[in-house]
Amino acid sequence: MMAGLDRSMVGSHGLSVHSIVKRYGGAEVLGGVSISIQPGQILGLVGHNGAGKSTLLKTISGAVRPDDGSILIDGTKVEFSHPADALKAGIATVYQELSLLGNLTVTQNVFLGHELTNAGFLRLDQMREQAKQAMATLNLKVDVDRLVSSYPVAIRQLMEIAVAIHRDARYLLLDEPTTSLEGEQVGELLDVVAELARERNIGVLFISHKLDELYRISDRMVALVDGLVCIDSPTDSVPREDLIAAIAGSEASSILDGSHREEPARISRHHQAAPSVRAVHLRTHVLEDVSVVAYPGQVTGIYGLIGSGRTEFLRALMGLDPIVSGELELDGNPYHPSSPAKAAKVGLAYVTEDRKNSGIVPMLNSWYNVALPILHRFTKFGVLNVKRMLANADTILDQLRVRGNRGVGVHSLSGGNQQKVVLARALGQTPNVLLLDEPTKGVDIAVKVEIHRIIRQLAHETGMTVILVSSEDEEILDVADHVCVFVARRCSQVPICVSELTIADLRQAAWATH
Amino acid sequence: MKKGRLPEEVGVLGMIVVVSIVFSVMSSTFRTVDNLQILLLNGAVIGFLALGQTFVLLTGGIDLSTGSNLCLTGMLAAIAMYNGIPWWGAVVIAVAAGVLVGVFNGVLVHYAKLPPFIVTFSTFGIAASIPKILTGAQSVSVKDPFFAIIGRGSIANVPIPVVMLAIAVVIFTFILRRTALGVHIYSVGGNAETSRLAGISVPKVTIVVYAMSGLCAALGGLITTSRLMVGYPVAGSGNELFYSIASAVVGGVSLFGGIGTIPGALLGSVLIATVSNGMNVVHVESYWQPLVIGVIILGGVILDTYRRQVSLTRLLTKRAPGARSPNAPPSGAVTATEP
Ligand SMILES: Nc1ncnc2c1ncn2[C@@H]1O[C@H](COP(=O)(O)OP(=O)(O)O)[C@@H](O)[C@H]1O
Ligand SMILES: [Mg+2]
Repeated sequence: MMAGLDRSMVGSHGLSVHSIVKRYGGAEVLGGVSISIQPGQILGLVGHNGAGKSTLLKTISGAVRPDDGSILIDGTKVEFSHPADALKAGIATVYQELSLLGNLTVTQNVFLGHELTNAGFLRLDQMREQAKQAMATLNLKVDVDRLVSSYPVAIRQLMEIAVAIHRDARYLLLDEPTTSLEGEQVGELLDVVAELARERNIGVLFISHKLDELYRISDRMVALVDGLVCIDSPTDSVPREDLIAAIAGSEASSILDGSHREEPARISRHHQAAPSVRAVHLRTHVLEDVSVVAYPGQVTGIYGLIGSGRTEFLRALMGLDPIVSGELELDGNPYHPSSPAKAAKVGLAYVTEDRKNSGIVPMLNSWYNVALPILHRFTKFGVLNVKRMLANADTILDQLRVRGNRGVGVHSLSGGNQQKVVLARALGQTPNVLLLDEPTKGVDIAVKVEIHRIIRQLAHETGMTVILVSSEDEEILDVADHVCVFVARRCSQVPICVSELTIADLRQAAWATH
Repeated sequence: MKKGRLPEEVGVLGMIVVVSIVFSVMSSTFRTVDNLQILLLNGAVIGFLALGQTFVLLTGGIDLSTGSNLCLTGMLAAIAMYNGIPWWGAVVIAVAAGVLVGVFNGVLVHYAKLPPFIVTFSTFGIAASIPKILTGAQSVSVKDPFFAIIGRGSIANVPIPVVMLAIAVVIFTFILRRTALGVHIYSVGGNAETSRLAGISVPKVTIVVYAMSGLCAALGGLITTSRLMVGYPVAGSGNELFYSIASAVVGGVSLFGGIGTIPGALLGSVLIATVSNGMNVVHVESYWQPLVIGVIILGGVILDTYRRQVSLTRLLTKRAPGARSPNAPPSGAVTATEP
C-alpha cells in the first residue's frame, strides 16, 4: 500500500514537530528537529548513542518540555505540559525503560490513568474483559488478574506495547521496543505494529538500533545525528550503506568488514605477549557470547552501542553478575569471579560509570574516599594510623593532580576532581587490572585530557592492564591501543589496532548487522 | 482479587487467634465481654491512625505527625465547645484542622520535594505544641452530653467508635479497590515517575493520602476527647504513633510503598490492641508492651523484606536465557505473588 507515502506530502495532515530545540545544561541535545508522522505510516528513527532519539520522543509524548519549537496535530498547534495531555490528544508512548507497575495487576496497568468508571466506581468486569482483549492483540496468554511482577521481562515488554495499543491512540511512539525480545517475539511485534498502521490507520514512530527491523516495517526513515535530522526519506530510497554512513560519518574505510578481519596486518602487534585477561565465549544472563583478550601494558578499548553488554562484561569480571558458561583466565590461570572483594584480592579494580551512586561517598573527604578499600593497610590492632593513611592518599591525589580542598566532603569538589578521586581510589588498590567504565563522563575538557594521559601512562609505564569502556569515539581512538566492539551482547572479533581506525570505522562496526 | 489463593491477611488473623487463646487461658478477665469492649474501644483509636497511616505508606511515604495531630484536633474540639460552639461545630473544626495538617504535609512533601520523614517529623512537633500554647498546657473539660456519645455511646452493645471504625474500613477498602484514586495510590507507591507518565496527577494523590491520614487522626482525636470528656494537651503523645505504624506493617502494608490493604491494617491494629490489652489483664508492667510490639514489628518487616528478595531473585533466575537484564524494578514494584 502506497497510500501512507502519498499522504506524507500533505503538510498539514498528521502529527508534526517543527524546529524542536532541547538543551540540558549548556548542551544542545536537539538542535531544531522537524519530523512528521502520518496516519497509517511507520516512521523509523535511527541514530547513534546520545543522538537525541529518546529526547525527541519524550518531547512529543509530553514527558519533556522542549525549549523551542512547536508540535502540530492536523495543522493545529498543541502544547503538552504533562504526559496526560499528549495521551488525551491521542498519542500513546512506550518508553525505553520498562514502565509497567509490578505491584499492580495486568488489568490495572492497562487502564492506569484512564480507568473505566461508573459514578466514580471502577467497572471491574468491563476492564477485565477489555484487558484480556488488549493482551490478545499481541497473542499474549496472561492472566490479567495477576500482578505484572510475576511475569518475565520479555512478556512485560510485550504487555507494555499491548497497553499502549489499547489506548486507541491515533499515534504510537515506540522507543526501542524490541531490545529485550527474542527472535520470534520480535517478528510477532513487528507484524502487529505493521497491522496497526495499515488497518487502524495509526501513525507510528519506531525507534530502533536494528536496521533490519526498520527496513522491514518502516515507510519512511529518519536518521538523527547529534540532534539534527540528516536523512528523512522514504525507506525504499535509502540504501543501507548510506544510512550507516550518515550515522557513522562518511570517511569509513571499511577496515572492520568481515573480509579484512583475518588480515594479519590489521591485528594488534601485541598479540605475541601473554594476555592477562582472556574471556572465551563468556555468557551471563545478559551477555550472549563474548570473547575478549587484554594485555598487560595495553589499554583495551571496549566500544559498542548502549545496551550492547559492555558494562555487563566488566560486571562479570568483578564477580557482580554470575557467569553462566564460558571460560575466564587471569594471567593464564582459570578465574572464577564470585564477589567484588575476591576480584579485588586477585588485583582487579573497577571504576563504575555511575559516579554519584556507586563511585564516591559524598560526605567523606577526599582522603577517606581514596583510602576506603585499603584502610586495613594502615590499621594496627584495630587502630587506624591516620597520618600514614593521609600521606598515602595524598601521594596518589598529587599524582592525579586533584585540586580543591581535600579535607571537606568530596561532593563539594567539581565533577572532574570527583572523578579523579574515584580513579585515585582504584589506583590506591595497586591493581594489576584496571576496569574503567566511561571514566570521563560529565567532566570538563581539561580534566578529560588529563585523565586520558593518566590512563595511558598507567598502562604504558607501569605495565598495568587497562580495560576501558567508552561510548565516545574519540576517547577510544585517543586512549586505547586496541579495541573490541560489542554488538548485541556479543563480541567475537580479534582486537583491532586502534591506530588504523577512524571514527566512522568504529561506528560502522557497532552498527554491523548481526 | 485472585482466586484459589489465600489472602495474606490470613497470617495476621491466625496470630490474633493464637494470641487470644493464649491470653484467654492465662486470664479469665480476658475472656469477658466487658474486656472485649475495652479492647475494641482502645483498638479503635489505634485502628483509625493505622488506616490513615496505610494510605500514606502505600504511596511510599510515612506520617509521623499522626499522634500529635490527634492531640491537636481533640484539643481544638474541646476548646471550641468550651467557648460555646455546639458539638457538631466542634466536630467540623476538628476534622477540618486534621485534614489541613495533612494537606500541609502533602504539599510540602510534593512541592518542596522534602522527604516525608522530615516534613511529618516537623509537623509532629508543631502540632504537638499548638494545643499547649493555646491552653497554657491546661486540660479543657467538655460538658456537651451529645459529644459524649461519640466515645461513650454504643449501638447494640457495640461501642460507637468501633462502629465508626467499621464504617471507615468499608469505605476505605472501597476507595482503594473500586475507585481510580485507589489504583493511583498503589501506582504512585509502585513508581511515581511511571505514574506521572501514565497521566496520573502525583501531587493530587500525595496530598489526598496525607489528608486521609489527617482525617483519621481527627476522628481518633474526637474519640479520645469524647471518651474522657476532657481535652488533654498530652493526648496522643504516648504509643499512638508507634502502634499505628506497627499495625500497618504487621498487617502487611509495605514501608516501601505500593503493597498493602485496609483489612490487613485493620487486622494489624486488632493484633496490636489484643497484645496490649492482654498484657494489661495478665498484669505485665506496661513498659514491656513496646518491647513486645517492637519485636512483632521486626517480624513483620523481615517478612516484608524477605518477600521482596524472594521475588527479585526469582525474577533474575526465571528470565529467559539471553534476555536483557531488566531495568532495575522500582523497589516498591516487586512482590512475591506467584502461587
Ligand atoms: N535528563 C537529562 N539530563 C541531562 N542530559 C540528558 C538528559 N536526558 C538526556 N540527556 C542527554 O541528551 C543526549 C541525548 O540523549 P537521548 O535522547 O537519550 O539519546 P538516544 O536515545 O538517541 O540514545 C545524551 O547526551 C544524554 O546524555
Ligand atoms: Mg534512547
